[in-house]
Amino acid sequence: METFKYLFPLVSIAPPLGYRLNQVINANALVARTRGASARMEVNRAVILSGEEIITDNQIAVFENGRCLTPEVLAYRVDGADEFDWSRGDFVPYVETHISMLDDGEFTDPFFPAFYTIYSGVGRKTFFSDNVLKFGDTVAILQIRSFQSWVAGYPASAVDATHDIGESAIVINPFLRPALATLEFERREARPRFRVPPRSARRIDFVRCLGVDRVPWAGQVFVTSPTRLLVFFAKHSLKDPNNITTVEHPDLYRGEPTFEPATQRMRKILGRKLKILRGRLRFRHRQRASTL
Amino acid sequence: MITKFQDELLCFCNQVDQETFRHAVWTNPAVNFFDLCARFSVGTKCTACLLNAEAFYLDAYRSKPLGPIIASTGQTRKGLSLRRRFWNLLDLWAPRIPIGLGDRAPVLAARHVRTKLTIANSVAAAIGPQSSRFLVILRRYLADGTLYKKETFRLGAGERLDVTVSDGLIEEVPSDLLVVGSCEIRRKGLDDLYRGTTRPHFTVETDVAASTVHTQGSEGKFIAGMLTANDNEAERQFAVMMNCTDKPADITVQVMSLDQLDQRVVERTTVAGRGTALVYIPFPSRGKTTGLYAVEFITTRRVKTYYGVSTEDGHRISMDHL
Repeated sequence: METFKYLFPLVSIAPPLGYRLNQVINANALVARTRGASARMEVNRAVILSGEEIITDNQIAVFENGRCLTPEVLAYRVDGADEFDWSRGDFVPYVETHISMLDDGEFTDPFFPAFYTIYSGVGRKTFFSDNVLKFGDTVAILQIRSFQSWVAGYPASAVDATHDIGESAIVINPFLRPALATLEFERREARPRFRVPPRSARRIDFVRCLGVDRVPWAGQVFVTSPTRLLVFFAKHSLKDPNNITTVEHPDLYRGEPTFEPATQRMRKILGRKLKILRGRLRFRHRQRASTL
Repeated sequence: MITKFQDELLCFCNQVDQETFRHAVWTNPAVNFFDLCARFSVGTKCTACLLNAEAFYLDAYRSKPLGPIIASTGQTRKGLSLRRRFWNLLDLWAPRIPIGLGDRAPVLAARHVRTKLTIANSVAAAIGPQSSRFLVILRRYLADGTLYKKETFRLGAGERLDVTVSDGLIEEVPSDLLVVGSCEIRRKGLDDLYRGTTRPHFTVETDVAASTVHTQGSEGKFIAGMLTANDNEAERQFAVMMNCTDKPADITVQVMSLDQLDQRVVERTTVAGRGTALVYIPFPSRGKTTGLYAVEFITTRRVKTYYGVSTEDGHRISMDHL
């Protein structure tokens, strides 16, 4: 079995002004990914703005016999500050989360357990955001294998000044070299390009790309780059971008095929039936064991 | 500092560390960057590390030591197992058949709230028209599970479908109260190509905001959980729960404060076969009520759940899948 000393790092947007970010990693799900029931893990978090780590948090999480002895390490909280204000400029902070094994410990799965990062605040509507993988995104892998290109996007974007509906792409380059992101809007000729310096996140407000006199607009938006970048799409008030309705991860142009070999379908059906049968047998075995 | 891992690993997908790559640069001076990455399996899967690899490549050249360097043998890729090779050979000769995809979207409606379903078969300039044409069947259900509309569409490459699926959910004059239903979406590719951007998305629109999220498979779960914060007591949090089976389902909603473990609320309801339930999250009302909460949904049938948050006036709503 392949084992790993790390989990693929996660990237999240930092809380905009007025919000608090809460991130709670499920201890049981971490144990389920650990070889053996006891381990020590290093948990590193950093809030990064324009190449600088402005807040860092480094702690050790200890697990013994399947129980987390340090649950406070798995919970992280940071409040949006002045430099997190989305109306101040293009560059916004982002958060990286890393977990790695210490000593002889190993992970059996390099992916973080799924969880939402929570953004909340007094006078602010709570919203949740998926986190994106810094490396190892399987949908991106399949896309690049199928098309030799990285294309992210969102099919239902909209900007409408009359109804105060705004939208932005948060393009994050957590890597060590500058990147260039190109945006493409459905039914619009212009394809604006944006340089994203190393270890930076750039908020690209769609109303600036489209032109305030050329909205309302609704449709598909694409973000492309020669190498994979990380993107979030935020829907917010047009007048106050810090007033956020929701933040979503992108929808990549999928390289999954629409047809499959008949033999593969047969294996899937058989696999599903066996899984149900195994589940029923396990349940009956447990029932019998509990009555003895 | 995060840089601990940036000092050790370069390609996370293939577990190639920076030292190996640096050594590869020093011992293969005639090999260009892309060939080196291919040879040492750096950036060959998700490609995300290529910008970092470029930085290390340039840095390694500048810092190349004087004197002889022992040549690196590089990494070898693991081969496929015999079983995997057998299946691949069998699949190569088998006829190819279309994959059917099923999704379920919650539908919300009120005087100021509409739900739109979008399926976009967009063409990206970087990729070109590589997606299949699709046959799409929509079935709309009321909260009690009654099927009230069925529609069929064909979607070519470059086309999109935008349907206001909340139409027909409220027959009489709409009120400010939220009414829910669901929309089952079945898609089938008509050509042996790629899925592209055709994952369905639904948008909950009001007069001042719009929030969009993708749908998920229509199988549902027996248990779903969510961590949430109750820092803004003026907002409302709720779950829209869609029964994916034909039989009624019993639902138990359990809300537990993470800060005060004795604070726990349990509520029960039922949802008809193919029906949809709207459940407002019952946060505890005594003691300190703000903070983090764990919300758990336990059902007796497979149910698909979306979690919603709205401002008190209901004019800004977001939805997330569980």
